[in-house]
Amino acid sequence: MGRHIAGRVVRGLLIVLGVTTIVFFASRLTGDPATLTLGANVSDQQIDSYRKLMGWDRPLGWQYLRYMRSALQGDFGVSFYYEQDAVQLVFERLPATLELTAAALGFAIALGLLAGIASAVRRGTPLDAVFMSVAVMGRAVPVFWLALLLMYLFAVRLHLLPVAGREAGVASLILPALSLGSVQAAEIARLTRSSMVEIMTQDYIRTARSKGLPSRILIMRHALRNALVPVVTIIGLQLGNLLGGAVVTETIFSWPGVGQLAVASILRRDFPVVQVSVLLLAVGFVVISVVLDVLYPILDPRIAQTHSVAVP
Amino acid sequence: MTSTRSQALRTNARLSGEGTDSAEREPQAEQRTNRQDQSAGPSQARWAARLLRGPAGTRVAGIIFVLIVLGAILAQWLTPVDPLVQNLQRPLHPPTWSWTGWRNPGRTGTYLLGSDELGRDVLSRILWGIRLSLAISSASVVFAMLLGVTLGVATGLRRGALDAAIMMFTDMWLSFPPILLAIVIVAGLGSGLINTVLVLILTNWATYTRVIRSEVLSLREREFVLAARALGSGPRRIAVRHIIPQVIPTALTLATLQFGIIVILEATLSFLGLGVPRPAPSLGNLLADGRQFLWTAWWLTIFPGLTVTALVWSSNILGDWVRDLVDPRLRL
Repeated sequence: MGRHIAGRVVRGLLIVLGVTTIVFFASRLTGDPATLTLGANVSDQQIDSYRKLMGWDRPLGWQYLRYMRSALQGDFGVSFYYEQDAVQLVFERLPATLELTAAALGFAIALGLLAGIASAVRRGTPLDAVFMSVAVMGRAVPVFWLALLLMYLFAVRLHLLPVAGREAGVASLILPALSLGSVQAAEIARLTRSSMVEIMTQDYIRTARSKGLPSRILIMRHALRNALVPVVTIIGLQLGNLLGGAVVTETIFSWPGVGQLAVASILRRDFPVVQVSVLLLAVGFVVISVVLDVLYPILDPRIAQTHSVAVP
Repeated sequence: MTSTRSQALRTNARLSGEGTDSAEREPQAEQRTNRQDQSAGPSQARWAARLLRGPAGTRVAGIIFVLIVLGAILAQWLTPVDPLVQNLQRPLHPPTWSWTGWRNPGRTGTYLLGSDELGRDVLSRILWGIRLSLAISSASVVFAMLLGVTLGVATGLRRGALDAAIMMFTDMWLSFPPILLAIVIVAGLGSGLINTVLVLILTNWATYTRVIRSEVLSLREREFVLAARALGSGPRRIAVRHIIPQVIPTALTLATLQFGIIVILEATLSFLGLGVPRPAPSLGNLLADGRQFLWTAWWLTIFPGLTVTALVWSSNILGDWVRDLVDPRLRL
């Protein structure tokens, strides 16, 4: 088990290393960083001297090693645009992103589980049909369009909630969290339903029912716990998409998070900030998947057993 | 027989946890198992029959998909005006059939879905947008499939250290969410039409490699491969003549399932300004433009978004249908 987790951590570190490398080489592929930073209104001589100053005239391999060394020390240079330390700049944005993703996840889990359980228990009823049609549509609706629709309805038409920004506290969190969480909610609902439906046909559920167990206890304690294992897996997978979706949602609602900064910096070709923010998103993703791997055996002891057999 | 059938049924029920009752699908599953027992390829007539006999949702999705594709192909004849032609005298004109638009009509046949801030016809822009989005998505899906299948067949047949390395790379690639991956790649490559296609290919190839490789691993142990080898076929001949024809159905199924994801991804990238550059009317660009006028011109947001949703929904449903048709036990 411990070895399993260690393996996952190593794989996670490899992913982070891979992303760092890809971002570095890709950002050098697009063109000369000196020209991009200084713009068009400078002489060739100035560009040359700036290139020397920044070490951009050295071989790419040397630049990469230097970049990795300073990356390990947490130094990614200074933002071209804000002229501030890139790492500090990105970390200032982190709380906003965490707040948004946590709220969206909470909403997605609550709605997804409720809808999924309700559909499974009331299988074949109109309620089930409605929930599941909505869930299937949820797979087809682009997050950003849903965000625009919600914005139009609640902010522009009804004036109930702020259009964008983060100044209004909880009120400004509602729309971004709803739009970010809805797609995940649909996915969770679909899986909870099919997982519950499968569990409900098992023998032990019939036994529990025949001994006269109230259906609430039957569903909550006997069925749901087993049905949750694949659901937790999908929530784990969805967390990555949640981070990706956060980039989009933050941009639409001008939510001052890491994702919005990443997109804005890509458009501004502000490479130090791009590198830090993309890396932070990658690290966040890796941490989540490792934590989930640790969580599975607690939910389903059978997983721990198979691992101890597979890895002696 | 019984065990295969119940297995197929169970997987089917799990896969189809989307509103369709498993009981409703039972006869289909039986048919499919029969087909597998006969192990004969279905004729075209039987394919067509299955399309008509399938659940109503699939038929509706098929019709919508065909309509959208036709709209894209016939865009230059269907559109009332050029999507890039501006009419600054009629900016932000509401759709002609809406309350405000009806009282203030434009030329007949134009502005059925309103006009944008430069007086460009929204319907024309949507039709051309579908065309562009479909072209980009199809190209990306095809190339991602070619790349992924090639890698999958090569690594599955070869095994060895290179296989292990490529598979580790593939797993790492797959564990990263597509939007983030796309943004990482755009961060490096920069935006643009060709780059968008490249980004979509690069975000998508790994799925094919993973699935196809595992299929090749089981195919290479089968008797017909052994027979081919015994007859003196080299690895290349085995790959081209014996393995690749076997994995094509899976690859195509995967491609139809991936199509919707690619369409959304492309729209999202363009919406963020990281995809197709303006003024090209891609669906994502239309939505990005419309966003600034959400207060005054709802039609700029509603119609392009509805189009994306309809396109993705119908291709998702068709993808599920193709999967069930090819192999209901496929876990894609």
